[in-house]
Parts: sequence; C-alpha cells; structure tokens
Amino acid sequence: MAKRPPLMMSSSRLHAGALALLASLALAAIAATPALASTSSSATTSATTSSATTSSPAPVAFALRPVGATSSILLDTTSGRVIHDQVSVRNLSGHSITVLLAPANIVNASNGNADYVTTPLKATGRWLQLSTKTVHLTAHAVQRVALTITVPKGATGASHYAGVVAINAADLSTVAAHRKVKGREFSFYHINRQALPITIRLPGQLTRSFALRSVKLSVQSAGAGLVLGLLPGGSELIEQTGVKLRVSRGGHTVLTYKSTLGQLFPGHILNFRIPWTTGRPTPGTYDVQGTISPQGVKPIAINRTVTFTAAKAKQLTKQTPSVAGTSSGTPAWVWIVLAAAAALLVALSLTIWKLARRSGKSAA
Amino acid sequence: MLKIMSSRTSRLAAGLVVASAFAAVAVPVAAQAATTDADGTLTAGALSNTAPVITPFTTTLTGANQTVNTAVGAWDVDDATGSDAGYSVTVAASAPTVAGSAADAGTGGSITLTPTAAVAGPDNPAATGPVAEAAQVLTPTASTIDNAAAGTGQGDWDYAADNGTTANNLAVVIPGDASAGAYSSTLTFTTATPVA
Repeated sequence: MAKRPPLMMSSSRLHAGALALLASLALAAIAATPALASTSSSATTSATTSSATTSSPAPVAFALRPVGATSSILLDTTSGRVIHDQVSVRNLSGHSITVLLAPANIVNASNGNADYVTTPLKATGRWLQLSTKTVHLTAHAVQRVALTITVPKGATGASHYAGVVAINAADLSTVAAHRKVKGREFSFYHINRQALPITIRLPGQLTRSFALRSVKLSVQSAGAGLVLGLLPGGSELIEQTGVKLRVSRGGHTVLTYKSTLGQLFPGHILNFRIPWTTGRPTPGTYDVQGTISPQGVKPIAINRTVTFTAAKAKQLTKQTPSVAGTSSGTPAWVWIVLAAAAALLVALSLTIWKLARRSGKSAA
Repeated sequence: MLKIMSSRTSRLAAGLVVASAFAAVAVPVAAQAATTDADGTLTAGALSNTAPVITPFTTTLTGANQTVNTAVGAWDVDDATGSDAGYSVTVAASAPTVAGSAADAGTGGSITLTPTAAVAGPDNPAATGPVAEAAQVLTPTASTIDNAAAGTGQGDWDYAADNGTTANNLAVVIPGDASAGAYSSTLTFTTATPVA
C-alpha cells in the first residue's frame, strides 16, 4: 500500500502530461487542417462536378492504315508529277459506322512530333486529294480510298510532310448534340483522331539545320515559363532533340531541365515552353545555360541572359492563382506547435522514467 | 514415429517418380501430336486511342483568376498495328467559348493537362509502354502527351481515371473577367506513327 501514493501521483502527473500532449497535438492538427484547406482554396476553387463520368473508354471503331506499307507512307517522286496511292479504312465494330477523312498539313506540335492541321489546309496538305471524304462501312467491312498527290511544278526541297486524318462521324455528332444542351457548366468534349503520315521525297540533298532564335521568360495564367524559340531547318525532319539547361542567378541554380523533343519538321518555328517549376521568378536577370542537341545536327550551346521585369512579376501575380503545395502547404507556426508537442512528449517520457525509478527505489 | 514419416516420405517420393515418368512419356506423345503446321495471317489492327471523359464542372466567378480541377476519366491507347514503329499521342484544345464566343471567355484562361503513366492493359505482355510527357498547357496547337519510341508501346495501355480532387490531371484557370454562362472546349486526341 505504501507504493500506491507515488503511483497515484505519477498517474495523475501522467494524466496531466498526456492531456497537455494531446491538447498540443490536437491544436496542431486543427491548426494544420484549416491552413491546408485555406491554401488549397486559394489555389483551387471548389467546383461542383457533375455525376461521375469516369467510365471505361469505349472500344475503337475503326482502323486507318496505309495500303502496302506497315505504318506510314513514303513516296519518291519529282516536281510536276501526279502520283497515286491508297489508304484503307476498316470497321472494327459489329455495327455500321461512318468515317470522315481529311488531308492534313504537318506542323510542329508544341513539344515536338507532328501536329496534323486540316483547317486551314496549307502547304503540302494541299497537294493531297482523297477520292472520298466520307466512308460508310458495314460491320467489319474494309474500304480502300484513293489518294492522289499532285506535286506542283517547281517544287523544291527534298522532303515534304503531310497526312490523312480520320475520325468517327459519331464523335462529331456527340459533340454537336452536347453543345445544344444549355446550362451553366464548363463542359469538355473530345474527338479521337487517327492520323497517317505521308512523306513525299523529291530529288535533292537531305539536310538538317537548327537555330535557337530566342529565349524568353513568359507569363501566362498557367504560370511562368522559359520559352525557347526553335527553328528547325533544312530539307529533312529531325528525329529527336535533347534539351538540357540550367537557369541561375548569381551562381545559384534556380531551375534545371532535361528533356527530349519528338520529331521536328523543317521550316516551322516552335516556341517550346519549359514550365518554371520552382516557385515564381522574381524581377532581375537570370542566366540560361545549356545545350540543345538535335539528332544529326551539331549541338547548340545556350548561353543567354533573360530579364524578368517588375511589370512581368506583377502580371504573373495578377494572372496566376496561388499555387497550392509547391513547397509545403503547412505554415511555419504549425511546425512550431508540432515541435512544442514533440518537446512535451520528450519531457513527459523523462518524467515517467524518473517516477518509475523513484517508485522502484521506494519499493526497494 | 520417425520411421513412419520416413516410410510416408518414401511412398510420396515413389509416387512422384511414377507420376514424373508418366509425364515424361506423355510429353513426347503430345509433341508428336502437335507437329501439324499452322499457317495464318495476322491482319494489322488500329493505332488508336479512346479519349477520356472529362467531368463538367460549375463554379462561381470571383472576379479574380481561379483554378478549377476536374476529374479526367480512364482512357487508353492501343497499338494493334504489329509494326513496332512507335507512336505519339497529341492533344489540342479549342479555345473555351461561352455562348459560342471565345472573346467573352475572358483573358488569360488556360487548360493544363498532366499526363499520367500508362499501365499495360490486361493480357498485354509488352514490357515498355509509352512515356508520359510533362504537364502541357493545351492550346489549338497540339501538344504531345505520350510518346512511344520504336519497338515500344505495343498493345493496349491504360490510364487510370483520377478523382479531380486529390489527384488532379486537368487544371482550368478561369479568368477573373470571364462572363457567366455555359462554357465548352473540345479536346482533340490524335494518335499517329512517326513520320518516315
């Protein structure tokens, strides 16, 4: 019985300590929750979404293929000639479908690879003619569509790029039907296209060149970004281009970037945007150094200075909603409370240990 | 006890030996029976993708630019061509319009898509799938979101749906000067083999 009072005492001390600890932790937790909530609400508006529309994608209804080739069409010809080829459209579904075909010109997608542009149809795309632009197919049927390519007289340059794109007419109908629905929603529609690239090769030397036209720090609502103005040239596409750079200020690295661009087509400028992923740029100058390595072309050294003006910084603040969780959404004071709770925990453990020792001695 | 166990083990081993002997005999028999030539043609399928359904949303204008995240549904890309040529998937987004007008949609809005990693579809043994690009600000000029180098990305590759809250792959910046009304944007997904 002599042992009980100290134990009772230690129990009550323990209880008080535990309560204090719990209170601290609860305070920290409560503090952290609205802090995080307010951070995210400042960044992302709570939007009401419609019923879950995340069902599995529908199966693909058709296949666009070259005839007599595996994946793309490559034609050798000379200027002033008319050449003929074919594409095939196969209905993969068990019901009738209508496929819409269109010739397309190829330009550079924003980060490389082909962007098939049908409207307005320009450049090499205008050399292409399809025997029909609408293909009706019964279940599992296949139809070949004639392709006529008229190379203008006096056309020069060794390689010209175009393509044929195909969409399921039902996709367009769905988009059109949805657009008629009135409401207050922000809706997205989608169209699936299949594209078939065509390379028309004329006599001439195949060459590649590459130029870095500009380096800018741009501002848009999606955030700041370093924009490289790239101009592939010559008479043949560049298969891939490595980009490796470092942005620094006063010798301190602010941003590093390494990536590979897809195919680049000559004669089309590409404003390649590298997102500024490390917070926000501040007014002043930045040094941009690195290398651009287009395949088959001598690498280009980047050694530029870009200026981020106060006006741009103001524009960035105005246009860009706060970014949640870029570093840590938890404010510093929450960490202080958590640290205090941790210290309390250590103190409590020490007290328990001391009391246990004392009660041990008393027992002895 | 040990003796019993040993005897059981011996019987089991003997049984296994007999079963193995039968199996060994059966295999050549089966092999002989399967030597008929099987000729056939595998017809090339499509290189295609099925674009994700993007959940519509509503929000209240605040007079300042605001970001809204919305759920991106499951989607897939399927290279059934058997060509091993590789491919790319690009996405272009039409400028958002309200009541048919892009001008009334305000200034400085944007749509950013963060591509996710692909997972091989059921029964697709291919080891290397298409590589997801970094986040892309979608514009009428297409952006590559996935790229499969030659010899990779064969078969069906699936992209899981996100929930639009804790996992956000589509962020829409609504301009502070946007007009109220129903908005829409069309995303065009294009799959193509590399240009020769």
